[in-house]
Amino acid sequence: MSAHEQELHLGHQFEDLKQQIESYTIGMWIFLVTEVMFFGGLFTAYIIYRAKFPEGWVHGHHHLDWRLGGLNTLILLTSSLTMALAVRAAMLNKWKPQVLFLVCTVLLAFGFMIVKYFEYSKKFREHIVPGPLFAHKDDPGQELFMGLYFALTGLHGFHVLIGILVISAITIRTINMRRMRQDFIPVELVGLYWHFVDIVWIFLYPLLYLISK
Amino acid sequence: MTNLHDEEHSDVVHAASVGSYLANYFALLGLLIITVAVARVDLGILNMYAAMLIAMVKTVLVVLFFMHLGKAGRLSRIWALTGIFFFLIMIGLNLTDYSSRHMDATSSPTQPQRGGEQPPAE
Repeated sequence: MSAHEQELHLGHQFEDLKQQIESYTIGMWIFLVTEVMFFGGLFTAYIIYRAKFPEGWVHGHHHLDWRLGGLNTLILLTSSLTMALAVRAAMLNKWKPQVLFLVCTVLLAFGFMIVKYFEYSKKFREHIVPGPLFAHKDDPGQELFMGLYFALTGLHGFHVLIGILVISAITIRTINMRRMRQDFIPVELVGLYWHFVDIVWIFLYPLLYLISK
Repeated sequence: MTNLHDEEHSDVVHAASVGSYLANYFALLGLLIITVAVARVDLGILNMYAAMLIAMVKTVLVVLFFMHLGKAGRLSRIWALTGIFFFLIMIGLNLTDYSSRHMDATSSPTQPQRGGEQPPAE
């Protein structure tokens, strides 16, 4: 373990490795706070309009398949597990399991996006995308619900795409660059990001797919 | 404050055991099943509170055991709480505003003016 840390590069602006790692982690958490506020605006809109159009929410959520949403929750939770195991492998300086777990995470993320693709295309076919072609024009609450559905899951899906890009880049660099294998910080930080994306979905799933009645 | 240079670096990396990650994962899966099961029972308004409570428990599990916030530094923890704090301020102030304006769906500007939907004149 101690041999591992001596190989870690210590930036000249830091006192020691502990401070360096803590500084990176704090920076990531600050970024995650801005992300909470970013999604928070949409969640606030969701709460206010759900209070205003309760029937629209109940009608709107019938367009969503709770089984597909549950499958995606399962996929994201599993990808969080593989991500956590990748971070663990990186900390223990085992770069091969690290690459394996990162590849698993990216594959699961693609699985999530594929399920989303089928969900989205079904809604476009059935004209329940907000806009002039919306099939239930007499129910503004329902259109608003679908609008928030696409805004929330779209922004979340965009975060998944960014996650795929960053995790893939780190995986390729870990394979190609020996120097990257000593530094677990990039994996640790993208891990924090990935778990945050998972948490957003943990809230989106019951809020969008599991409305009773 | 002790001198950090004198400390062993073993607390710099904090890799938990594979078993603890798996246990956390299965706990999350269990909570997912509970969420779906509870949603299929009609509890009225309690459904949403139950779903949000379960989601918060899942969040705590992810934050503590996958993001290991408990082992992160004190400043990281303060920032995480800051996120929750300002999120609650945003929701709280907005709800205070909207709930005191007495707007309901019938007074919504999107409701009445829909061209060509007037009842035909007899």
